[in-house]
Amino acid sequence: MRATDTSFLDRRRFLHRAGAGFGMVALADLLARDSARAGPLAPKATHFPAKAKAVIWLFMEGAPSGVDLFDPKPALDKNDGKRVKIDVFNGNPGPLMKSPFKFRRYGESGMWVCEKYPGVAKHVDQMAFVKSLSTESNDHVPALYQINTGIPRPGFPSAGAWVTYGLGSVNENLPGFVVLGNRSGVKGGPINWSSGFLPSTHQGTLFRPEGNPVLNLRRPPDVATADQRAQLDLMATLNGAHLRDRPGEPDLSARIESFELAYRMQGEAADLLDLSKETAAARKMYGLDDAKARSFGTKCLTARRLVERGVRFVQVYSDGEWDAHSDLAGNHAGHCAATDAPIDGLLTDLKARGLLDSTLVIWGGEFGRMPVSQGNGGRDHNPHGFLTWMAGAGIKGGTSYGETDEFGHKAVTDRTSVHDLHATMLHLLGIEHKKLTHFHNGRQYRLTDVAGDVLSKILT
Amino acid sequence: MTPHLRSPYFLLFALAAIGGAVLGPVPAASAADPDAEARSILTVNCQKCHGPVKQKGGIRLDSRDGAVAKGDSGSPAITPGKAASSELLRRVTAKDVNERMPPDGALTVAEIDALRKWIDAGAAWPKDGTAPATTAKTELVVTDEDRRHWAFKPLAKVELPAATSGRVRTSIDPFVLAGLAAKKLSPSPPADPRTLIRRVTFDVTGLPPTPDEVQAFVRAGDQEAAYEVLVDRLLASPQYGERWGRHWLDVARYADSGGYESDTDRPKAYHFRDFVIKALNEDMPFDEFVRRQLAGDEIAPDDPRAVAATGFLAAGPGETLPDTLLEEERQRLRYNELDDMVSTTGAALLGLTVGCARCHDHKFDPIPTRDYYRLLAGLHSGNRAEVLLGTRVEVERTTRVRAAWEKKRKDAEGDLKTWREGQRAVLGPKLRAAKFDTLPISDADKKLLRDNPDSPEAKALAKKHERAIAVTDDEVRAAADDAARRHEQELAGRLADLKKDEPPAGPSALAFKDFGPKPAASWLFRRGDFHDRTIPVELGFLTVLTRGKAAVDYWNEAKAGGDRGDTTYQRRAIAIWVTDADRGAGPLLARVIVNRVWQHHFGEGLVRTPNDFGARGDRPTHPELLEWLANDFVAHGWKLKRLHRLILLSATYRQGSTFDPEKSKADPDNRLLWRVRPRRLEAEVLRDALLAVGGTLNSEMYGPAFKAPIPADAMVARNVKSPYPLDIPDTAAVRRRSVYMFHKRVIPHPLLQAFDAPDAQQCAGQRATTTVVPQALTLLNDPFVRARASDFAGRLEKEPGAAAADRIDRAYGLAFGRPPTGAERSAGVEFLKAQERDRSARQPKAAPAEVRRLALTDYCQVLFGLNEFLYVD
Repeated sequence: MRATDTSFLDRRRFLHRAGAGFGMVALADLLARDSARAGPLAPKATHFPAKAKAVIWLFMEGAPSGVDLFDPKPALDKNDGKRVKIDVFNGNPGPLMKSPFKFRRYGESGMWVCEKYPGVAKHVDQMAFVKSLSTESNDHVPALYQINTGIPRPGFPSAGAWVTYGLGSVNENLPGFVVLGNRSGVKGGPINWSSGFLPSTHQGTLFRPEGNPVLNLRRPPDVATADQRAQLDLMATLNGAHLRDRPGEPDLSARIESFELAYRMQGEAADLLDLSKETAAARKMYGLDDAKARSFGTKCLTARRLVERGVRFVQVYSDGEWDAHSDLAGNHAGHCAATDAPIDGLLTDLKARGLLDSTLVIWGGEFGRMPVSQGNGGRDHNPHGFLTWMAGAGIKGGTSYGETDEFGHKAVTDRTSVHDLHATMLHLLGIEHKKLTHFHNGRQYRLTDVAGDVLSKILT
Repeated sequence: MTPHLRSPYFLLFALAAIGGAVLGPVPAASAADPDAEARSILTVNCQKCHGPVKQKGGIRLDSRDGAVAKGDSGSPAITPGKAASSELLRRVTAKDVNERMPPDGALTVAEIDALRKWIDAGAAWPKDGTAPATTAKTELVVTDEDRRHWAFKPLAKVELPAATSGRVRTSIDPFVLAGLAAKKLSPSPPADPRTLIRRVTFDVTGLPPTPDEVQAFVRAGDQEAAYEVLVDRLLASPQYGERWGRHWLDVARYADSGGYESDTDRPKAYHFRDFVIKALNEDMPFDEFVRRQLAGDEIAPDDPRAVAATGFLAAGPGETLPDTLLEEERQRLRYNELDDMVSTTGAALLGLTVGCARCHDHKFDPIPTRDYYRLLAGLHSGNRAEVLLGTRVEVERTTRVRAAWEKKRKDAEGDLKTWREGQRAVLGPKLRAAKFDTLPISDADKKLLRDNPDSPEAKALAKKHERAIAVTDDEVRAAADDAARRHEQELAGRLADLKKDEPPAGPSALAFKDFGPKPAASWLFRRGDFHDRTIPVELGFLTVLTRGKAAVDYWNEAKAGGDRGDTTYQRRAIAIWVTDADRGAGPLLARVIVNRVWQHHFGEGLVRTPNDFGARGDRPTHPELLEWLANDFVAHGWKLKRLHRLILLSATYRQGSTFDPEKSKADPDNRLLWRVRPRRLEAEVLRDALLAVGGTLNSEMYGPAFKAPIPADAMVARNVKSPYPLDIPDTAAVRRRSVYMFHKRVIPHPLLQAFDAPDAQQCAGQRATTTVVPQALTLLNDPFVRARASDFAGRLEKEPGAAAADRIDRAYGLAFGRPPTGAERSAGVEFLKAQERDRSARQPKAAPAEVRRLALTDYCQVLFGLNEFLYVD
């Protein structure tokens, strides 16, 4: 989006530069000549009325298995132990392996859910299951990059960055895109929430539930609040004289204000993350009383608080990895235990607060798992057919879309790409995915590259 | 928001025509035949790109069948009878210039109206004279018209503009003055000497001038002469290569690790960084600089620096997956990595988005997919590798000596192993059997183990008690006789001696290396699908940048100039072509680098899209100046320092930076250069300036990259091999210039990232300059910034003059190259007094010296956050 030489340009250039991780909307406000809120994070008009105002993406890192959680395959039970020809990522595929878990139907829609997800199961009538997703790479990091950015290589803007780029953010003092990370770090690192070639304003900000929530939010040990206040006052005085000699440099005033915002934010972020003000019932509902679920529950509760405050896009990573190359039963049972109550709590709470109608909740990983066994009761990676579900804003509950083959190996009906998932997400946010573009190195890029169809069958 | 370049609709863009062989040149349509008139609009405006020669987007508009057939997007250009829903009409009426067709100028209202009526009436097309109805996709053909794009032309001689009024110091100025005059603008008055020395020192070396340097320059009688001396001194300083090397490393997407999941360290990658810094400091001709980065090993195989220079190709992200993993996945990585090399070469050297042609012909530039794969063929015969550095004789010797030693070591290990196994075969069974009695099993079972060891029951039993009955080497040794023990000791001693004598592995670098002399087979992968191996291709270049010299001739020239038997010389052929100013890509190469140099001096290039000189890129603000500079650059041996001098000594560069609302109205984006714009320090420059002003910058050059301390909180990637250690002390070793920092791809350094350093994933021609809250948080709270403020305070305390005012004077000299004003001095004195008072009130037990130091540190940190520190006028 290069500007032409109009008098608008200096202001445009300034606003572009004034883009901020947080708070810069207010800053642009102060400085823009017109009264309307402006700046890269100012709320922008959607292409059509939006169903969703926010997204909470429950990211199950390491790739959970669809056939063991939501998509039981009778043929797998019948053919347990039989050899079939399937190439797998780590080599040496074993025979077909039936699910170690029992399944039941739930809700009016009668959707299947495994025994390890009783809390999640309560909400199937709100959910649409996409059972036929596929991605390009068999390897975690390229697949993580693809599901986050559309492209299985590093260097491209993530979905959250595209969303804040397209829509701006409602809260002036918080980032538009927040990541609540995996406790042990995410494979592939911050590139998963990078702004790529979009202005860095749009990159995801990693919040840590404990300690220093945002990098450099804490003062150095030998600087008290009063010291910093005095420093800022002196800066304002000295910068003021410098600025008076340099009219017409909006960058300079923007920077002065950015220090004040940084100062205020140190208090506000701490307040946001202070869960002590939540009731005991709320804490219990999110699983905070249970040691196994506490970490993910804290993140889910924080996600709700973020969305409530107008944050546009929140990504919540599960802890550890669903990457069950052996002992799938133990691995998945453990992950279900860590996430069941928090997800149940989140969906219940969002609904009770009337937020579910305007919040899209997505659950899923970077790919799925093979129907054949690996090692001792494990399953290898499967990019050819995997499952994700969505709930909330604009989603037709109790539906499913697409099917894999009888064993759950490859998507055979309504094969769905990551681009389709992204297109659908953007659609719910009121964005025509083909029109959300950014000019970079000679071409218009978009989140959905050159593909993507909205999955309208699962929409209300 | 503009539509995606590759959106299905885009494909209609190229409504092009040709009067084609079948249709023939279309006569101007008479108004009497509105249908013919409408069709002639297509002929004139569209068929160049959508006709018999080219069918951009799979669209052909020289026949009715073509126009109503589905293009690549799946939708037709014309739906007869329905103008309103015809994509063609939508595109010719689009308000957005990026969407509008034709791309080089809108149709008139009358023309659009004619097309609308014609389509609504059914889009009649005469039966005879209709072009073939096929829209089968054919390859993009590069035409003479394509070669006429400004950036693809041969270098043209340019005359200096005649008589100009205004200050002229170098040949640059007449061009700039002419541009200003045309808009009735004038340049700004010259910058004052203090501003100028600060600007040029940061610009050339990335460091602030010292107070002494400022004083000497300001006091010089002959400013003109003094400035020239200053520029030459700066260009000759080793810091020049560090500063400008960093610019090139952005373009080369250089980092010290591979990225992806393991983000494996590349401890030998730094040789490429050192090559860049040294080459710039020595003013290596830029064409040679480029050739070495593509094929240094094929050009000067006995020069270790040339061999390491191909680190340019190798510097991109990549990961080595174990052989045990799925072959398809490893192939995917391989072609992604080759794509990175081809794309980076195109973007960095030629300012072209060559990578767009990986899956289809380039949408805007005349780059057929075939050209992409012909270039890729040149790299297909090799890969990133750790190569030994040295002359070939040295490398051969090192390799031979190592191999001989390896053999000896293996033999010695084998001897020892054979002996031990022999001993075990003799003594083992007895020792094992003796242990049966110790097992908690029945006598019958013990007997079974002894008497019938091969029975399934005995085997199962033995397996169960495997550990208890295992015999160790020590037990075997103890059971052996003295002679046997001595023999084993001898063998073990021999091996130990050999290991002590291990010959050094020799220095090595991460670089690019061919697999051998035979070129690997290469194919054109349709739609980028690497399984598609039906269309073979051989080495070749970008057709549009080739004039009358075939790839094979370049290749023969490359081979003739070398005597290596272990490489294909294809990269050398690419290197010769890319630097060939007469018949190859040399003119564009020169324009692109001249523009990059200009951009770093002024903040914006003459072409403001430094990585895109194609159809979608910006046109130059001063086309003749760019052409003149490119000509001068090539004519004088591709010398960068000459180019720097021309720019730095120009009156244009030496202008003041004061904003002028009137001039801004006429030229708000300063495209005509009526002033020099203030610029924020780049991330590395900021970090280096903090160290320099604090007085603790370690100016040690070159060598392995250092890992800087980073907060544990910043390490948010799992499974990374060798992450940053958490206990790196803040010593001189980590206070070196930022260009020597270890850059891990998936763990960006927080300070550098906050201040817009590129992520090293792709060629970065331009950095963003944002003003964001994390930057303020960094300056207020980052331990590194606080530590440098403390250094600065310590430095001030050591200087003469213990009064607060003296310290403030000195601080201003160091930080800003000027004395403080009276108001600034008294504000500082006040602040120090108040801080000392408040701090000792809060901590009554603290020593007064400690309190004074902390207050002074608070003050120094304030200076680091001031706009005057962060921006250079």
